[in-house]
Amino acid sequence: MKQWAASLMAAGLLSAGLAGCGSAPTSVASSPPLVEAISQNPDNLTPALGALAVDNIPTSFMDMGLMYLTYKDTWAPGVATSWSVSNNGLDYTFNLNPNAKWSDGTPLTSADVVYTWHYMTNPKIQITYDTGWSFVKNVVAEGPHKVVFQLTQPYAPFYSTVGSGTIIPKHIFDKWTPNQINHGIYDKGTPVDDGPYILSKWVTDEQLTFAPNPHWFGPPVHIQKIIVQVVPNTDTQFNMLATGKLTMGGIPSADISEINTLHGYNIVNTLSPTYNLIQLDEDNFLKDVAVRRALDWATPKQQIVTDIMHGMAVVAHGDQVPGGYFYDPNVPHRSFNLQRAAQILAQDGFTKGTGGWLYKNGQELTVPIWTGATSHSETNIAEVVSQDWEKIGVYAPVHTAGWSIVFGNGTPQNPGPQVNGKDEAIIFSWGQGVFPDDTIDFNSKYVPASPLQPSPQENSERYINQQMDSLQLQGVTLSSRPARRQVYDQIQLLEQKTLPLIFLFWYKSDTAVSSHLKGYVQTTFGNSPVWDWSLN
Amino acid sequence: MTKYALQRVIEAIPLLFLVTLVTYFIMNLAPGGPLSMYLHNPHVTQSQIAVLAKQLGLNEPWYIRYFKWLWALLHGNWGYSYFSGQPVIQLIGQRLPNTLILMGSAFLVSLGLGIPLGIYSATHQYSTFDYTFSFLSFFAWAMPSFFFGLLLQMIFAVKLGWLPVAGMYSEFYPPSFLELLRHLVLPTMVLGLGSLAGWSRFMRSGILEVIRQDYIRTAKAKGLKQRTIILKHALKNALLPIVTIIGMDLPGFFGGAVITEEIFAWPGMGRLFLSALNDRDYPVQMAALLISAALLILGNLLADLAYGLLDPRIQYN
Repeated sequence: MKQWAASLMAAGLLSAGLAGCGSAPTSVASSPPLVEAISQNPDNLTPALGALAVDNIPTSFMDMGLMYLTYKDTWAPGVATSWSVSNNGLDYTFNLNPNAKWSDGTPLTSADVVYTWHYMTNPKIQITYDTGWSFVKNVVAEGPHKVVFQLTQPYAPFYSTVGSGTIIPKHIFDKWTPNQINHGIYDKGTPVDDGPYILSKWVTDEQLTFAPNPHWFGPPVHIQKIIVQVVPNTDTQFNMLATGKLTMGGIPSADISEINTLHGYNIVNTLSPTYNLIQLDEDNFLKDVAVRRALDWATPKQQIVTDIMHGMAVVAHGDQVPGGYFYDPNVPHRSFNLQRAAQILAQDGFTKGTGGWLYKNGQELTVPIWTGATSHSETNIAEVVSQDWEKIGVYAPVHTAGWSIVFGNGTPQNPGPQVNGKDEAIIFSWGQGVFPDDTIDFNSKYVPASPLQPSPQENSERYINQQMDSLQLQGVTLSSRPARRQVYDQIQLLEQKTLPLIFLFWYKSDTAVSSHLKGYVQTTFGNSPVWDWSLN
Repeated sequence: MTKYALQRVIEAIPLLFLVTLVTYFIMNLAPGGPLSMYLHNPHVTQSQIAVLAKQLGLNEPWYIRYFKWLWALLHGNWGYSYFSGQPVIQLIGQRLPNTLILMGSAFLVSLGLGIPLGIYSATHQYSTFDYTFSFLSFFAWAMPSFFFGLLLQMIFAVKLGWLPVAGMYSEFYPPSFLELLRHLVLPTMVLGLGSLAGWSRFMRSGILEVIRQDYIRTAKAKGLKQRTIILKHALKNALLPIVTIIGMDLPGFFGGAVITEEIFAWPGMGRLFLSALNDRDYPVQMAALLISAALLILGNLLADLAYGLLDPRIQYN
C-alpha cells in the first residue's frame, strides 16, 4: 500500500509548464550527477506492464504523454500543444507538436497515438494499468499531427487516465509479438521513448543511469546525468543521505528524530495524497449508519496524528486531498467524544450485557480490527482505536496478518476478514491520487456480489447509497470542472453524513533535498519538471 | 572417490525433485497469490486481474502448474517471472555471480580467521586473549545481522567515512576491483562474522579435545615443536567435526545473504529471492529454493569428501 502511495509522489516528477514545446535544442551544461534512491529494482519498464510503484520514477524521466499534471494541479502540454473536448463530451481532439520525436530520432506522429490504443486494448499483452481505455471506442488520426479519441460515453477522468498516459512508439513495438513484449524485450538495450532523458545503463538491482535525450523536443535539461540507485533498506537510504551520497531522498518516519544530523540538505515537508482509514465492512451492525457514526466519534484521530504519527500527518475528514481543487474545507467533522459515541449507541438500542460489552437483540457488538503485521504504526493505531472503542462497550480485538491475508480470500473454511460475512474493521492506507473520482471505492456496483465472492471488488465495505451512486455518475460525466467541484462537495458532505469508512489522516512526508539542487519544487501534486532542475 | 561423488550426485536428483514438489505445494498453500498485490490498487480493475490470471496460467490447479513448470525445467526452461516477464535464468544469471562473490569472501574470511583464531585460543587457554576472544565470539554470534549491518554502516561509513554505505561499486567511478573490495568489506563482515565466531569456537573445542589425546602426549615426549604438533598432528583430527559444520553452513551463507544484501544494497540472489517471496513470484521462488537445496546437498557432499582427505581410515567404497 505504501509502495503505491510512494508512486503517487513519484508520478508527478514531470510537472509544470512545457508551454510552447518548441524546437529548442537540448543544451547540457556540465554538472555533477543527480543521485536518488529507490527501494526496489523496477520490474518492468515496458509501457503499462509494470507492477511496482517504483517503475514510475524511471518512466517519469523517460516518458512524456500528450499532456501532464503540473505540481500546481493544472494540465500542461506534453506531446500535444493544444486539446479540446466536444460539447457532448464524447470526442477529445489533440494537436501534436510537429517537432516531437522519439529518442531514436523518428518523428512522433498521430500513428503512434492510434497504435497506443491498439496496444492498450490488446488482450494478448499483459497490461496491468488500463484505466479509462475501456471508454475509448476509436482513435482517429486526422493527418500526422492531429488525433481524435472517440468515447462510448462521456468520461471526465479522461485526461488523468488516457490523456496523460504513455504513448507507444509504433515503429518499435510493431515488429514484436505480444509474447516478446510480455517477456521484456523492450527493456533490453536502450528503450526508445519520448521524455527528456534516455536510459543509458541499467545494472539490475544496482542502478539506472539516465542521459539527456538528444532528440528531446521540450525545454533543454541542465543535468547531464541522473543516477537512480536501488537501495531497498530505508535506514541505508538515510545513511546515504547522511554521507551526502544522495541528492535527494525521503526520510523514513523512524529517522525523523535524526533529521538534524543531515548537513547540506533542505527538508521539504509536503502533504502526501494518501490517506489512512478504517474500512468498516457492513455485514451486520455496521450496516447501521448510527453505529458507524458512534465509532467515528470514538476514534481519537488527533491523538493518533500527534502520538503515533509524531505530527507527520493531518487529520482527514474525507477522501479529497486538502489543498486540491476538489477539496471542500467546509465539510463538518466529528471530534473525539466518547460520551457522544456511547449516547448514540444507547439511543440505537444497544445495552450493556455480559462482560460489559454492548448487545442488541441478544447479539454482541463485536468489531475486530485488522491491519498489516508489517506496519508498525498501523498496528499501534489499531491498538489505540481498540482501547477507545472498548471503552464504549464495543468488543474490538486487534488482529495483525500479512496484507495478502487481510485482503485475500483465505480458504472456504477460514475466509479472509473482507469476505467472511462478519462485521470487521480494517486499517490501511489508500491513495487514489489527487483526482476526485472515488467511484470504485463507494459506488454500489463495486460491492462484491456475495460475501464469499472469490475476487472482492474495491467497495469491500459494501457501502450502498443511491444518492452516492448518482453523484458519482455526474462526477465522471460532467465536463465542466466547476460543475464537477459542486458535485464532489456534495459527495464529501454525504461521506461525512453516511460514513462509508472512517477517514483517519493524510500522510505528510519529509524529503531531504540537497542545497545544491536548484529549481526543484515539490508539492502534494508532484514536482517541478526535471528540465527546471540544475545542480551547482 | 569420483565414483562415490557421482553416486551421491545421482542420488541427489530425486531428492531435489521431492524438494521442488513440497515447496511448490507449500507455496501454493500460502494465502494470497501472485496477483494479490493488485487487489487493492485502484488502477488495476478486477477484470484486468482476471485477464492476467488467465495469461499467467494462474487459474489452473497448483499440481498442473507444478508439472508444467517441472516439464519446462527438464527441458532447460526455468520459466518467466510473473512480474518482469523476463526469463528466470536471466534474472539469476545477473545476480548469482554477485552473491557468490559475497558468499565466497565471507566464507574465506570466516575460514581464514576462524580456524587460526580458534587454534590460538585453544593453545592459549585461559589467557587474556582466550577470555576476550570468547566474549567477543559469543557477542558476535548473538548479534542480529540487520542490526550489526546498520551499526557498521554508522561507524565506518557515516561517522568515519572510511567505507561506502552500500552498493557494489561507486556510482561516481567506473567499476574496478579496488572499488569492489571497498564495497565488499562491510557486507563480508556481517555475513561472515557469525560463522567466524562459531567456527572458531568449534575449532577451539576440537583442538582442546585432541591435544589431550595420548598420541599428542607422545609427540610432545618425542620433543616435537608445539607448532608441529598442532599443525601436523592435532589439526587434521580436530578439523573433522568442523568440516561437517562448515558443509552444513554453506547454504546458511546463501540464506544470510538475504538480509545482508538487503541492508547493503548488494545486487544478489538474496534480494531477488526476498522480492519474489513478497510478490509470490512462484517461478523465481522455485529457482531460488532449488539453488538453496542444491547448495545444501553440495555442502554435505563436500564435507563427506573432505573426511576422506583428512582421515585415511574413511573409505568411499
